[in-house]
Amino acid sequence: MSEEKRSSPIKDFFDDFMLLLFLGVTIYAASYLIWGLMELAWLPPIPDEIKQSLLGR
Amino acid sequence: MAILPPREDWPFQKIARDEKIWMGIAFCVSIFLFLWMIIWHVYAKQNPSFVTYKTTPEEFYQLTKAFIEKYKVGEENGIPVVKPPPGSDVFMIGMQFRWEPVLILKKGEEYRLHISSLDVVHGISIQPVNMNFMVLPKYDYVLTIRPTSSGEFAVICNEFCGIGHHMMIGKIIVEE
Repeated sequence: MSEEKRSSPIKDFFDDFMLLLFLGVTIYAASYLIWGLMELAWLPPIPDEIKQSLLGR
Repeated sequence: MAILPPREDWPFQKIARDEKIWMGIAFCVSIFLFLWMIIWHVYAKQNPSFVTYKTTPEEFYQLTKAFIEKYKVGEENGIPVVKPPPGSDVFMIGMQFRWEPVLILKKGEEYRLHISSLDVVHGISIQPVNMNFMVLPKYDYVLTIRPTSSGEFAVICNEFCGIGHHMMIGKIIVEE
């Protein structure tokens, strides 16, 4: 009878420290990058009331 | 990597009581630190509340010029001096190598200070109160300010912007 080691995907995942290190850096880097790009993309222009009060049109 | 390898079936084991307690403490500390950021922002009054608008150097310069024309009261070394009414939108533009205009504000009154750059990245540093903000082209950074002390405040650039960086000095005058 061969003794097979019982292994699970969760255990393999948590035991792979290089994978955890990579994900720990990449997930946050990607999240902050995407968050920053979204913030920049969604910036509103200067409101028309301010422009009108100065330019009079 | 541990000194003693964990049991093979550790992911399926029940979590011990002391470990639960430590996880609970760590969770509470992280939540407290998160809430502390908000509490500190509101009560310490050290971090400014601001709004940012998208703009272009041309548009912002046009608005600053119109603002200067509307509220100009004089000139100092070729730089216009403006005295906007309290509660109004106030514009200041950074460019190589000067700040424009010189602002005259009233103590205790609130203003919305719009700052942007005409060319490269500058840094606005209001001295001696030591308030520092980035000034970026294409972005209108709006700070709600309320001067709490009167006097003359120097506005210097704290982001190296070129050969005349050290000469880039503006002024904000706060009157009683």
